Amino acid sequence: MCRILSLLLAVLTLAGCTRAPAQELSAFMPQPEERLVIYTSHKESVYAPIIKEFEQRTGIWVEVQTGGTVTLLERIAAGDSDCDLLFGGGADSLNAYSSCFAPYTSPNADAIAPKYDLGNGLWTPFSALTTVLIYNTKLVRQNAPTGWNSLLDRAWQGRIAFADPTASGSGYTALCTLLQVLPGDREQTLRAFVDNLNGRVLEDSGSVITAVADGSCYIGVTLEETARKAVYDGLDLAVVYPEEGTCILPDGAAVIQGCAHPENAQKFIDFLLAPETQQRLVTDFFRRSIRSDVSDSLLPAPPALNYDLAQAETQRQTLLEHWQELTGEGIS
Amino acid sequence: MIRTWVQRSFRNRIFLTVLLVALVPLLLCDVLMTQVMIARSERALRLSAQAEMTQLSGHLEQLLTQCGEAARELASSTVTRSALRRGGDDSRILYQLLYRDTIALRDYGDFEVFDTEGRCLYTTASALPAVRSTDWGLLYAAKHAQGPALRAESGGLAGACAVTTHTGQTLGFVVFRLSGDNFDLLFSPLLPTFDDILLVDPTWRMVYCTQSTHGEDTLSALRSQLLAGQPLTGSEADCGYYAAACGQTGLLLILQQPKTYTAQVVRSIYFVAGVMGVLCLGLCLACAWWLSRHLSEPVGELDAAMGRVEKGDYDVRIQSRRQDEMGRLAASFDRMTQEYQQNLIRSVQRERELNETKLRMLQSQLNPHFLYNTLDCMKWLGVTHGVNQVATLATDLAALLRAGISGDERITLEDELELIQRYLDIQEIRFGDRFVCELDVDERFQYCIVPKLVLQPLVENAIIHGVADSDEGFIKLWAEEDNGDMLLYVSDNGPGIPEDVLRRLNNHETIPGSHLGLNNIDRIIRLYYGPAYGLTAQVTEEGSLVCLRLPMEKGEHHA
Repeated sequence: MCRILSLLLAVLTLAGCTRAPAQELSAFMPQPEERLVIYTSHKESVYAPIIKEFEQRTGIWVEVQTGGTVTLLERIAAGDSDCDLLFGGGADSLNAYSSCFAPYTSPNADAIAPKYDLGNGLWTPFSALTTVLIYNTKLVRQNAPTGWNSLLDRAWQGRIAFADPTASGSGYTALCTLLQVLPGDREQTLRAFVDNLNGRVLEDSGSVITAVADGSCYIGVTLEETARKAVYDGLDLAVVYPEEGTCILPDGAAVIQGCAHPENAQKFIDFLLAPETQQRLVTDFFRRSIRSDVSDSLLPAPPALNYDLAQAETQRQTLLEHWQELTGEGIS
Repeated sequence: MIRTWVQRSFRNRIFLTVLLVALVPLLLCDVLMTQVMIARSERALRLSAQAEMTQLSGHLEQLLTQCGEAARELASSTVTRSALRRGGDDSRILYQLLYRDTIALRDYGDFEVFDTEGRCLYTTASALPAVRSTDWGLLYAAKHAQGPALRAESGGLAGACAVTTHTGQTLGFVVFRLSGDNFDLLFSPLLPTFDDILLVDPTWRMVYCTQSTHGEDTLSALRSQLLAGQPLTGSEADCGYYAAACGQTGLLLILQQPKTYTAQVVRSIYFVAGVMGVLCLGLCLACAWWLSRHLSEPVGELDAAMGRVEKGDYDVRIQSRRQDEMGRLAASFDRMTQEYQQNLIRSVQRERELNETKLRMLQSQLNPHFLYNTLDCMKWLGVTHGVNQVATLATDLAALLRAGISGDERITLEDELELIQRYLDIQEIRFGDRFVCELDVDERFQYCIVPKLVLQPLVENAIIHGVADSDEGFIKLWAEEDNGDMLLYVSDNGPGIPEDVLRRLNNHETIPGSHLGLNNIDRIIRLYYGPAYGLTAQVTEEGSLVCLRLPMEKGEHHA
């Protein structure tokens, strides 16, 4: 009796599961050697055209995962990701996680300008990012800001758009630059700056553009790329390169240690450094090329500054804690 | 567990069989119907999709081949070469050539000529397009390809063919552009209303889609599914997707076809099927329960009645009102027991008559007066010779003998007790003073009528099985009244009655071996007065207690 019952049950189950198989897809699927998995913290407007051109030239299928630099790096460091290549992330972040990367020096690396960090061969610089000041051209008619010193000017008190350095990488870089550039006691400078902000910070560097463009702030500190894009889009903003000089920090890309498709990842890095790709940085993305043979003539040359990256990294913890204390005071 | 449950009763077997026979084909049909219906619909959709795809990709391939050919011819024309070599955008002959060669294709796309700087010099479109980069995108591909190169561009597809000198130097490019509108024109006459088309490049990046709003989301979902090796279900599960390569162009067409049975409809079908199944299960359970009960109930009654008959209860009747075979069977059973009961009564009657006849024969063979005289003679011999015990024995035996052969079958309790006393006198001589018997019957029972010599076997049983082996035996005989019946008790302080004998005695069953006397008394009483009367026994703390139930009948003088 039990046997009959189980037989019936089997027939029912079989009838329930019988379906025509779906379309055979293996013909369309790329082979393993035609794949590449990229984790990127870039905006889609930056990575999409580059990846599309790369795919069309090489026939390699790229899978993209997006996210914040630190989040992506933590996933990679945890070792359970399928990532082949990290695309994006500042020099500081990449240096901190350099143990996750496989060494690779592109044949195109010879063309990189000597002033840029080559990441000890573990990561490769892609573009250079510069911090600039912006102001609203309708609200600021005279005495426009000229440099870092203007951020301590009482005239702009409570009207400065500044990204929270505890949350934004570019905000922290700007704060360090400010402290390294301005003469005098760092502690006093920091207090004066926080005082001038009225303790008010924005959550990311993108919000700086919005805040200055909609008039809630008069001046702001942000990345050159973002600022020039906003100007190109027709917002009432002007870009100021600080007269004291500003830092130029590269971001980069790195092949992940032990990844599944290292050769394709290396091809992608070669493509990133190719002259036509670097040219695109300048013409389409308002970024600075790291190649010495690609002209930055479309962008004004900022006064150079010897930014101390090592100092910025070692002081990060203490400086940010101090910052939080001061802004906490400012709010109360 | 099911096996034992099924084997325990044939009612369970009927129940399970009916349930299975009714339910299994139904459920099977339920599931099969649903599955076959969905599978058929999917197959029909797939076939129509394949036919559509063949047609669409054929058209597209033909168009792209024609465009490629036209571009190649323009690129290899000396007119184009010389115009580009000369520079400027004012060659009337090149425009003539451009318009003449592309006349059949211009409904589907525009043709343009670019110089090596990426500037557009000649175009069939109304406005000059923007400058193209020659080291990026389409013109880069055209420079490095042998024939026409195809590239997906925002809003459509573009192809280009490099114009080269005989030495291989690039002079410019002939470009054709197919915009979304052009694709609409190509596909819309062939495409059913609810189907959508996605045209993708070899790495599944969007070229064109007919549903501009969700196209990108759908494609990115499809691409992820393809890369993960999963079936193509898109971002919503209510559409089927079919991919087909578009000839040698490297492009792919993906057809999005709404399913006839969407997930929601399938859920509804399963829900209805499930509800039907549950309803049928309920109905089958009820029917199976009713049918099995209907069939097994009379059989159960018959079984129980048969059990009672086996125990000797011939009064049992089923009295079924049913008209069917079961009813007839019950009626037959009733008739059978009735006849059996009557037969039994008749045969007992015959037996009794036979016994009486036998006794009379004996009586006639042996002159009782001769026995009396002989016993009387023995008595006087005992008296004369001073052996008083012989005298007593002879007297008592004579009295018992007289009672045994006297014509009356029923005597008063007083006379019966006197016979018992005589029997005890004889036994006293035999056993000496090893036991005492107390007859304690109330005066009001003295004239009750009892069957002759009915108490003697009880007392004998008490002596033989009770006090025979004891030195201080005690037997008591007394009477009680209960609901108009007379109860005669005989108790002893012996070892009691064995459990097996006790059980058989109380169930009125035959006892093999000794205790035959008790068994006979019980049977005679029950035959005389009916099954309500007879003998019961029990074991008490002192010994055993036997009770004889008789109807209370007073003699004529004291009625």
